[in-house]
Order: sequence, then structure tokens, then C-alpha cells
Amino acid sequence: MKATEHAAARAAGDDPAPLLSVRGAVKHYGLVQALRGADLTVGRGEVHGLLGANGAGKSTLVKILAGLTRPDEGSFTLDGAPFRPGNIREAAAAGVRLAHQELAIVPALTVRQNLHLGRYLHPELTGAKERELAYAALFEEWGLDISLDAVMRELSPAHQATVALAKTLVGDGRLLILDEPTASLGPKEVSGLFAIIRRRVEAGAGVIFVSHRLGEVSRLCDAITVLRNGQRVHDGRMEGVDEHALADLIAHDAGGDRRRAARTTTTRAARAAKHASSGGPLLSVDGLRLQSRVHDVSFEVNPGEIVGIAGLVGSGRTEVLETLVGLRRIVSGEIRLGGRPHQPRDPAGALRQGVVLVPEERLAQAIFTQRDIVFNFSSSRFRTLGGGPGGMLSRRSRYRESARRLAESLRLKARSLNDSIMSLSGGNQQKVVLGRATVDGLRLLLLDEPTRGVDVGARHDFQQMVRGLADQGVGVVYVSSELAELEYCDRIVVMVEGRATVQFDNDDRFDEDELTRLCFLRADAAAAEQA
Amino acid sequence: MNTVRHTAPGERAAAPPPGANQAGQAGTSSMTLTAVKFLGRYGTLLVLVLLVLVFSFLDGSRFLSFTNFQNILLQSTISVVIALGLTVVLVVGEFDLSIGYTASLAGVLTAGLYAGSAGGKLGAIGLVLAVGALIGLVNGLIVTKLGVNALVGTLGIGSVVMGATYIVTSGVPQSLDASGMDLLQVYLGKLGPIPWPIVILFLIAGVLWLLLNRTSLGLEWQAVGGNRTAAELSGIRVHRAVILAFVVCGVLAAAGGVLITANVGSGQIAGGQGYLLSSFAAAFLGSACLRDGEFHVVGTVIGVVTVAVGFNGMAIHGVSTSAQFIFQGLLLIAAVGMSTSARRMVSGRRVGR
Repeated sequence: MKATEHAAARAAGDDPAPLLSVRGAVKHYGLVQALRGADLTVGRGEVHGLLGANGAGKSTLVKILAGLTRPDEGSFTLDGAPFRPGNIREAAAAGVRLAHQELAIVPALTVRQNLHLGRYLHPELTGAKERELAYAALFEEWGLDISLDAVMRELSPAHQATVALAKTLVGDGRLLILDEPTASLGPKEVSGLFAIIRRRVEAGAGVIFVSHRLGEVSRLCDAITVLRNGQRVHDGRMEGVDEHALADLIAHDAGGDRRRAARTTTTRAARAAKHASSGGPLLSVDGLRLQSRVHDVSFEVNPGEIVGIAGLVGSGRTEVLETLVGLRRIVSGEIRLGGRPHQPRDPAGALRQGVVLVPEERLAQAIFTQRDIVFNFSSSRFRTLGGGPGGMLSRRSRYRESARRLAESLRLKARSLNDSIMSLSGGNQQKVVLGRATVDGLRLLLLDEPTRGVDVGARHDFQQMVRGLADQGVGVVYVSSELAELEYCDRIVVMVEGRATVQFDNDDRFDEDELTRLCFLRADAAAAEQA
Repeated sequence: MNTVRHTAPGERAAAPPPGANQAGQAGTSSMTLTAVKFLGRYGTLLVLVLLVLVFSFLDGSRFLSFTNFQNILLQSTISVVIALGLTVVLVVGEFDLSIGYTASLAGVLTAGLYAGSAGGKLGAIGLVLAVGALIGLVNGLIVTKLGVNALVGTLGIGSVVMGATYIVTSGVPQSLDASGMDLLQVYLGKLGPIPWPIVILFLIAGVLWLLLNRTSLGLEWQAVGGNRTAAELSGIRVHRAVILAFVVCGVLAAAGGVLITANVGSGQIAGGQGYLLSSFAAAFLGSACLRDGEFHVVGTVIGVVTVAVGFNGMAIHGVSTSAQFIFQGLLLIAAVGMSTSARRMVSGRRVGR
């Protein structure tokens, strides 16, 4: 039966036994409940889109199906038989194969070696010869010219992604799960992938396509399931459902009252008309385009303003912040700080201009794990607080005093400032990083997911301090995937797939669900909404 | 997933760092943990004490004499100077495999140039140190600007330096000029009751200690070595700090070369041979001493002395040279093992992976 025939059969109610049936899936991670009785039905010969906001449970469900983790409760049936894989090999042997969101490749090895590592995914292909023929056939089918002897890291990111996907696509999987497969692919590779998926599905396989990219979902999927808060809130055919409706389904708004009144799209005319308080904006980003991920971002920050940037993972927000401190080169566009062009050579140069970044990965990028709290507070001030010419002599008493004052204003919970930084909780560590960032002459503070892994109490203190800094005239850019937090922002900019689509003043009518919806709406769809 | 944690006011947060493996999980017993932690902090001192005890037992009066201990320190000066240079580079998280070759080149240059008037002699020393600085600068530039891995880059430069040494000497050891014989006084003379080398040892160690611990540059070095990204985002000029570390290392390696020539009385082409391995051994031994896996000046000095005690004891006991090399190699492995384990303990990751 062809895919379309299956879909029609389902709609007509003569549903042949579905390929996959999940009922009441429940999964806890400690105190967090990722799945609260989720359902999913995937038919044979069907491309099934799995949609949902961050934390909705998509990844968890997909991991259970692939055998990476076990559910707490729920019934899982594959082709009518109970399906409870104990590990990924069992799942793969049963025909359920996952292409993970994170590229599982080893850059130093060749394409052939990388594919070899994934051979457990297609155990029906026995022997290296058979596998190699299959890989070559797949690449040809895809229209790609990739040599099996090429070293992975010499391939473009798009080609690396196709190799990673190839592991799942070869062989005879009956249920292929692709988690955000197009994230690194160019349009040509995406078209090729979709053609391959269609062919697999026409041959009877089922495909679960997890994606944030509603345009692609509309294009490829026969049916969709939307998860929200660990449960299914919608399932049905894709036909007749458009992007806006999809975005509605994913967030809470099911049509009805949407607050669009105070919203503007980032057209140049709109920006030009924007008011400039007391001498112009502190930061103005205009048509920013980077080598990767960021295509067109424009926004402004006024002194004393907290601007939140909302968006999904991969929308390019971190890249924008990195550019502001000189860690990335601008391809086109302009950045101005206080009216003057801002192109710092490196973070040291940016810091001298009063621009500081608090990075996303606390332990890896911000914490000196072997050092004490004083050192961690003072690393931005060794020379400014130092003695002698150019501050070349260290002044431990001054560092200690400055640390003490910062610890107090941040309400830091530590036994002694001479203790190791690792004795602090995540939240308190983050406070230290924030304290370090508040250098003399701070003008623009960039926060990347600042409250990740931070407990509730510390979160509040942290936000108080940020508000305090803003009150003193510091401009703040606040990037967060936890959209509820952006309630504290004065203005919100939404970034979708590398473009700033919508921005608005955050009045008392902050609506998290509306914001979630906007995070899925691509630029043209958002613009259409304003028209 | 994040677990929600409420910290009551005043309560010291005892949360382990994310990703940390707590004692008792996954097979690491708390006894093993304590043992590793102990070794990381006192391991080297243990080895030192052990060596002293063993050799005191074996050769009593010959080993345990004031003259012998003074000898040990005298033999250590060159090693300390070169190892301290390496320590700075290790602190910023890099490696320098060219130090032995730099010392050799400096040694032959000293032999050739140290002559004539006092001003000329001083100039000669200055020039030799400048050559060391230049080698360090080149090392620093290829590691930072070219992004070449330090192990490979400095090895390559070391090879170039060795070639230069051959060219300069035409393969022949350089004898000191007659007017330059006063250089030997460095090893023969004393400052009051203390032999010059020991004075130099403590002087240079003192200066390096101040540099690493009491200057902003030293703190920047520690920051860069601790977490390069965090240092960069703190506004520290990482490339400049790394380059300066290599320059200091180069200068000290050259200084070591000067001392070698002062000791031996001529410039040997392979004069610096052996100091690479002993410097690494000393620095790693030093990191397993009082500082949980971090490189530091005092530790390196103790590390050098420990190795020197070992060699001294073996020489007195009449152990063959080959056995001495085996000893040094084993010591290096033990030192690196203790140091690395100690480091992993501190940052909370399980030993062994």
C-alpha cells in the first residue's frame, strides 16, 4: 500500500494495525515528569511528524522507542507485538532506529570508519562488503559525492550530518526516527533526504520526524502528533493544517485572542521610526549576518533596558552574543555601541568597551574549578585592582575586599570566600560569575541562559541583581529558553532559525504560551501575521 | 534534568558540581578517594622522605652529611632554573619540549662569547638570554597564532635549535676564552658562606614565585591554565599571556645553559641533554606536592631536590647509570599519575576517566 493510501485508510477509519502504538507513556527523571501518559500512533508507510515545545517530552519519548531509556509506565506495541527494547541494539534489531539530534561522529576517522561504528543500527546487513554497497547506494540515491575514505572533519557540516544520518537510513528499518535531521543540512541535502524518506515510506516503513521547522513538517509529513507537557494534545493528518495552526497547537493558544497590538516586525522602516531615548540606543544591531546560523538579526538595546531574546535551541542567539564580544566575525551588517561602530577583536577588547558575556556553560566556560571564590570573582579585575604601574602587582587584599562586597550584594551563600568555588551550589556559582562580570564601566551585560541549573532561590537573587544593574543604566541582553523568565524583560525579541522575526515591548500582558508560539513561527509567517 | 534544590539561608550549599561522581557511586570507594587525595597532596614529600630513609639506611654517614646535602643542592641549581621555566608554561596549560636544546645552544654561545671586558661579558650573557627569549617568542607565536599543538611545535623548534647549535659550533665543543675563565667562579665561589649556585637557586626561585603569585601576569597565567575560555571572557589577553610564558621559559632555559657552561667550563653541544626529562619529572612531582595537581614554584623545587636526592643516593651506593635512568623514568610516571589523579579528584571527576 502506498503512503497516501495508508493515510486515506486511516482517515476512513479502516485502519490496518498501526506500525507503532504507544499508550499512556510515563517517565520521571527524579522530580521532573517528562511524560505524563503520552500517546502516539504511527501508521505503516507514513511520515509522522512529532512536534512540541522544549520540555514537551519529544526527546524522552523518542529515547524510549530507541531503547536508550526505559519508561516507568505505558504500553508499547510494534506491529501488534509488545515492544520493550532493553537497549539500542535490541531496538535496532527490531527495526527501530534513531538518528540522534546530536551528531554522533568521530571527526578524526574516515567516513567508512564512522559508518562502521554505526553498524549495530542495521544488523540485517551482514559483512563489510554488503554494508559498503548499501552506503554507496544511499549516497548515490541522495545525489551526494562523498568518498568513503574521506576524513570526517574535512567534510562540510552538511556532509558530516548526512553521514551521521546514513547510519539510520541504510538497511531495512521498519520505523526510522529522525530527531531534528535537517539542523545542519543545506536545501539540496534536505530535498535529497525528503526524497529518500518518501521512498522508504512507500516501501512500507514508518518514519517519525521530530522537528521545530514547521515549514518542513508541512512539506514532508502525512500525519502529526503534538506533545505538550508530556501528553499528546493533537494528532491527525497534516493535510489542511498550516504553519500558524501548528504553532498554535504547540503553544497553548488554540486560535482566539492573540496579543498582536504592540508588536513590530524588524523591517528597516520600523526600526528607523523607533524612539531613541536620551541620546540614542546603547546597542544597535542592524542586519547582522554571520558565517553560520545567523542570517538577519536587528534589534536595539537602550541604556537601562533589559532585552530578552526568546528562541529555540539552534536559533542563533548564542552566536549573536558571541559576536558582540568579538568571538565571531561579521559577514554583513553593522553593530554600533553608543553610536560608534563596535567590532571588538576579542573579549578583552569588548570588556574594555564595557561589554561582558556570561556564557551558557558554567563549568566549561566560566568557572575556574581549581580556584577559590575570591579568584573567581576577581579574574576580570587583576589589573584594574592591582598595584604598581599598569596594575601589574597583584593586590590580594583588594581582590578579597571586592569579592566580599560583591558576595554581599549578591547574597552569596558561602562559608568562606577562601573556599573552593566547587563548594558552592550551581546558583551561587552563577552569582559569582555575574559578580565577575560587573566590572567598572560595565555598559552592556550579555547573559546566555543564565539560570540554567540554578535553584529557585538563587534565581530570584540573580534576577534582582540584574534589575539593579539595569536601574543603574546598564543595558542587558538576556537570552533564555525558559520563556517564563523573560517576563522580567522590558522588551522581547524573538529569533527563529537565525532571524529576528518579531519584537515587542513587554507590558503586563506577558503571555508565555504566545511567546512559545512565536518561537516556532518563521520570518515570513510572522511578517504575514503583521500584514 | 535539573533537580530543584532549595538552599536555606545560611546553609552551606554542599551540592556536588554537576557531573561529579560522589564517593560510593560507580565503584570508587571512599578509601581509594582518600588515598588518591593524600597522594596528590603529599605524594612527593612521601617519596622524598622514603628516599632519604632508604639511602640513610644503606649508606649512613656518606649520605647523611652536610657536605653531601650541599652537594645535592649544588647539583640541583641548573635543573631548578630550567624546570621553573617549564613550570610557567605548564601553568598556562601548554608544553615546551625545546628547553633542553635551548640550554645547549645557550651553553655553546656563552662559551664562545663570554670574553673580553666586563661590559662585554655582561653583554654576552644578555645576548644569550635574549636568544632564549627569542626562541620562547617563536614557540609562543606558533602555538597561539598558528594554532600548532605545543608538543609538536616546540619539538620542531627544538630540532631547529639543535641544528643551529651544530652550525654555530661546527660540531666542536667550545672552550671558554682565557679571559672568560672567571665564569667558573659561579660554581667555585661563594657569597659569604653560601656557594653561589645555591644563592642563584633561591634567588631565581624567589623571583619566579613572586612572578607567578604576586603579579597580575602570574594570576592571568593561572587563570588561562585553569580555564582558558573563562579567562578569555574575563577580559584576559590569552595569547599574550601564553606567549609571555614561553618567553620566560626560553630565558630560563638559556640561563640554565649559561650555568651549565659555568659548571663544566666549556660549551657542550649536548649540554642540555637530559634536562627535558628531569624538568618534566620535577614539575609533575611538584604538582603532587601540597597543591592537588597544580604546578607551582615551591613544588618544582622540591621535585628537583627529590630527583637529585635519588640520583645522589644511587651514585653513593654505586648504582649503575642505566639504573638511574630507569629510576627517573619510573619517578616521572609515578609523578604524573599522582598529579593527574589529584586533579581529577578536585574537579570532581572519577579517577581513570
